[in-house]
Amino acid sequence: MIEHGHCAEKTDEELVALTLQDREMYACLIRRYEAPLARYVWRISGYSDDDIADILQNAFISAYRNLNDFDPSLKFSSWLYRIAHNETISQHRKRHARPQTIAVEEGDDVFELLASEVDVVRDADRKMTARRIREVLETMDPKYRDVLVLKFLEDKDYREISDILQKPMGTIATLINRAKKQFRERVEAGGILLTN
Amino acid sequence: MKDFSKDILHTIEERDIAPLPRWIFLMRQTALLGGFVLSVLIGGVSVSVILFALGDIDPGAERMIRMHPGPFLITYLPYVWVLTMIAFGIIAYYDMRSIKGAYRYRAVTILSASIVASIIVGGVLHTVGAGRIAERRFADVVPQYQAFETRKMHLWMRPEDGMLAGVIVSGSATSTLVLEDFSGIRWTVDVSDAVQRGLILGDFGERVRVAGSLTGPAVFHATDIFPWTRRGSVINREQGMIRDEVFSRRFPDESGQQGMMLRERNLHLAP
Repeated sequence: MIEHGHCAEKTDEELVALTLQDREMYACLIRRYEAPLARYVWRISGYSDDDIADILQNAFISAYRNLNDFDPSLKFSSWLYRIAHNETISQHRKRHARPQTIAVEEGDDVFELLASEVDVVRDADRKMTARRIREVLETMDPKYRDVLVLKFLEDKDYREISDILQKPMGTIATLINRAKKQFRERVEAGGILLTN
Repeated sequence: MKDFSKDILHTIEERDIAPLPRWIFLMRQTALLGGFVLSVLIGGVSVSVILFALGDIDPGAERMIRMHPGPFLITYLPYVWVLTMIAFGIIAYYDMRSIKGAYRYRAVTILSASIVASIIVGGVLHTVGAGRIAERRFADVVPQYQAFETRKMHLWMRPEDGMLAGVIVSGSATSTLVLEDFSGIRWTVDVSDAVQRGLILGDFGERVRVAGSLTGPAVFHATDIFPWTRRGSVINREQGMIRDEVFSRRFPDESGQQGMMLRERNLHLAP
């Protein structure tokens, strides 16, 4: 088995090239992206650990099978996120519904980021505000939620979001603006105090 | 702690999964690109047919178009080709969208690029006369399809509506013509007041259209006289052949020689 230290200094692209020569090297890429992808899938789906493990297994196998299709002009992480995203969507389709859940850990700074983006006042009872914001996120259109998750939770830039969701960057910018607008409107409707 | 990477590698080994060869992806991309190019070409042919049909609308026929907009629209708007152009525009768009990296462009950009490419190809094809040829070939292959020429004949065989067409049998293009319409009926057409809308040679066998009114049984008063087509040499060659045919019906013994002479003369006079 490949030792973790052996992969650490290698770039994703180098590991892709090495994996094509030696399957065992794929373990390095799996270890590198297992946790971030699991968190991402959980954030956009709210599925159980077992379901997420299934999605990740399918995503990693699909990525391995299509490794020769990886375009080095993209970030490998974007390509892998795209595969995981598509696997999650196909899982939603199999279940005929997308769960209306937004999964956010305690201490996740999404609320602060979103609050600053839409000028939501952080009141004394921050937990109360956080809970309301979570409720707002849960009612949002999935296409808006996806971009908010990638932008504010996964900390992806516009280019990466464009590559993951396979939409033009201009569309991503529009989606983010609309998502923030919808978020703000729903926060206001929910009675959370705003700065202006 | 469970080693996820080990599980996945085990599954890959167990199911004997290997990365698909690069050529499969290259072939897929090439097929998509080929599909896009083919769609643009077919769209271009459609555009050239549309240009061919629209290019045949005469300046000076506005009054007739206003009077009979429906029949003119059916004749001059090649709806089959408009639909073909739209269909292949959509196919080209979806082909292009599936090409690697194309998602970076907006749908409207891709759609516009497909349409512009088809228009450019169609324009080039139109200048070399491909639209007309394609339309003819299509009519030969698809019997249900009525060729533009046939639709045009039907449109201009409406003397009661002031539209008549046929071949000149005798007379003068400045006074009175005897015209044989496409069903074989001979008409006396007074063209003394008619405005000439294009080059009329007034030759025997020349195909012309006249607009005006019915003044009696097989008698027509023309206000406008149009050549059968706005196009030049290619059509004139055809007119020579029609002339031969009419001539051979009238003078079967001399048809070959005389027809040849008339055709040569006409080709010589053609612009």
